[in-house]
Amino acid sequence: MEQYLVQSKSKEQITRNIIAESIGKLFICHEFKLQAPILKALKDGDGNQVATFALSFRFSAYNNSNKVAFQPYIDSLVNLIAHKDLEAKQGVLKALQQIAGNDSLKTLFSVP
Amino acid sequence: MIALNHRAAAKFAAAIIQAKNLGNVVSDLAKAVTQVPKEVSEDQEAKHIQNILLYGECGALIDQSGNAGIVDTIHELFKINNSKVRQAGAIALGDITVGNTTFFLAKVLSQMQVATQTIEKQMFLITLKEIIINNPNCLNQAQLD
Repeated sequence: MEQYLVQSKSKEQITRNIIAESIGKLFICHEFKLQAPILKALKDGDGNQVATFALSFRFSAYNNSNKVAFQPYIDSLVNLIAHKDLEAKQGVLKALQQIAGNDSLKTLFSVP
Repeated sequence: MIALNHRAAAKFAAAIIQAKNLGNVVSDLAKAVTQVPKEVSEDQEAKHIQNILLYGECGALIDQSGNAGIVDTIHELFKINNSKVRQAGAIALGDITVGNTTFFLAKVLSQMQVATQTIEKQMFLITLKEIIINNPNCLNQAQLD
């Protein structure tokens, strides 16, 4: 993950897309082990890091019904819609689109 | 991008090589991978891509730890001029690693850390992605941190 955190700052979109897909696939098997670094990248990362880590949800949330795994990220992702970096904003919107488009996960947006 | 039909053909051929126990074919492929020139012309591209991908698929099925130098050999492929051949090398290294993660994964990660060029790092990221897609459980806690 340390390598991914460093490389996700890259200006090369191809590099960031490869990392996003890798983190997304890794998340499916190691969702709780990856929670801390993903939350850290979303909270403290620069625009490119936020874009990369947010985009990883496009891959992890596809056909995934594990609501508990995604619950910790919903508030962060919704708040990041207002991120000042355009790439980050796009990554976050793609992530939310994937989660909201998944019938098993869309209830995570329900107001209690 | 590497065409999907190249990958599918390599996967199918590797399964036959394994089923027929054609070890000499795997040796020939390993040799062919070491002989890829630094400059690959477009008319030679498909032949090299097929050899590299097929060796990778064989490596996923038949442990290649006896050919320890293969990580360095493929790392050299990451520096050649042809992007499709470079990408084939990255995919093949991922497949070979899946064949024996205990032996190859640490080597791949250490070479990734010393890679200096952006393009080399990108190829190692593709390698790592292949490993994760094929065997996400092979990474231990230290590697996930």
